[in-house]
Amino acid sequence: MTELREPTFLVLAALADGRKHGYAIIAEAAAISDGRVQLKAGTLYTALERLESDGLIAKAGDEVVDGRLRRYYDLTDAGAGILADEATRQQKNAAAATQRLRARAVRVAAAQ
Amino acid sequence: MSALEARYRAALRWYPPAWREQNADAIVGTMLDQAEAEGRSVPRRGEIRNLAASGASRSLEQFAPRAVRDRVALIALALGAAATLLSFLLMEWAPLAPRETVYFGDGGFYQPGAMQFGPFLSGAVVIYAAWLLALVAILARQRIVSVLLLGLTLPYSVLLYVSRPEPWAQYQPQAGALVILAGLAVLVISGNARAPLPLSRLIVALIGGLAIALLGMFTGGVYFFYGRVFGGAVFTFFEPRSVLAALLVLAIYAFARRRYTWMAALALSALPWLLLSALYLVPVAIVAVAAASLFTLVIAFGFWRASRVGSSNAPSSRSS
Repeated sequence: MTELREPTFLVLAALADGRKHGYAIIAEAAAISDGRVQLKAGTLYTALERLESDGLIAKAGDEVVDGRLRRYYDLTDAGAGILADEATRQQKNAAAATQRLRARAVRVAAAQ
Repeated sequence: MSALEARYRAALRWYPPAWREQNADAIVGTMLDQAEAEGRSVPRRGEIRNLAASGASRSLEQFAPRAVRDRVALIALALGAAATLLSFLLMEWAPLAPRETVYFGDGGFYQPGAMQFGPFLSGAVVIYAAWLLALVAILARQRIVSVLLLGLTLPYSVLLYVSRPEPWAQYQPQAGALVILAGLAVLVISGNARAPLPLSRLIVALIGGLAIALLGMFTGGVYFFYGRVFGGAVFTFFEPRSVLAALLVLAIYAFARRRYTWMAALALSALPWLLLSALYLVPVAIVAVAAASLFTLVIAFGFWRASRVGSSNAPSSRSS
């Protein structure tokens, strides 16, 4: 499995705590990324279609609210597994980078 | 219907009708939810453009499914990389194309002491280098790098042909060769050539591309490149009928193996070579070309439909 691109990772992460509709996924992805990633609807639905065809998410019902259709999506077990693997990989990378930065800070301080 | 909703729905015209029927209400609902949350009554900047781009991409998917496009990209990569590797080694690299043995195939014109582009014969070496680096990038799953490299060859090819820089302009590839490489580059860019096969089988496919290029080299008759090697021996690349025949044989093999997505990709890949063949054939053979065209089109259409049925049942682009 190749590493997930950030928008894909954020969509899966947004669905990790339960089913959500389109706008809720956009808002959650923005919140997770501290507002850095603002998914557009066209991009979101392209990603949702691909993730659904790959079996990582599934449709979880339609609701009409104020005359608007809200289509819900939920993470599948396969999607949860992929997301967990990617989160672990990113954690390991971040930990390794942090450890090396600490070592560098000690080295710089010793040199001064 | 509000003006905003009307604009959103109008922007969905880029999507295929079947997609709109299934998803228009959901995506418009999402955008209206977002607009309401942000207190907007007009689209966000870039929102309409994003819908147009996503819709056009989805429509392209309808015409040529991702699984087929990826395979067409792989076939184009194998042919393009083989041609550029052979051109690089045999026609551009000075040690194998020494200035003392420059020979032109269209009339036996011999010119010793040709000027060179560093250790190479012409500026076309930049195109060959970009292709070979793009191949490495694809093998390393760096698709964006490969897209950039191959994309840059397109304006460079135009520049090279139009400017014809001296003193090595006369040694650069013919326009036909540049057009073929540009076409192959576009096909590689349009799909993910790394997706259809694992690395070991991808390498086998690349060797197959090399074999087809060599076949074209030794069954020539149509010069797309001038050969300049081994004491003036003339080599040709991409004799289109050879490439066409090889692709059709492979398509029939794929059919026999019930690899319908590969079948569709090979048949679609054969079409440009069919057109090129037609350009160079004498009139008495036109009937044969027309029959081959019809045969290829029928097969391509039939197996494209078959692959669509197959891909709708398969979970990912790895279906074959």
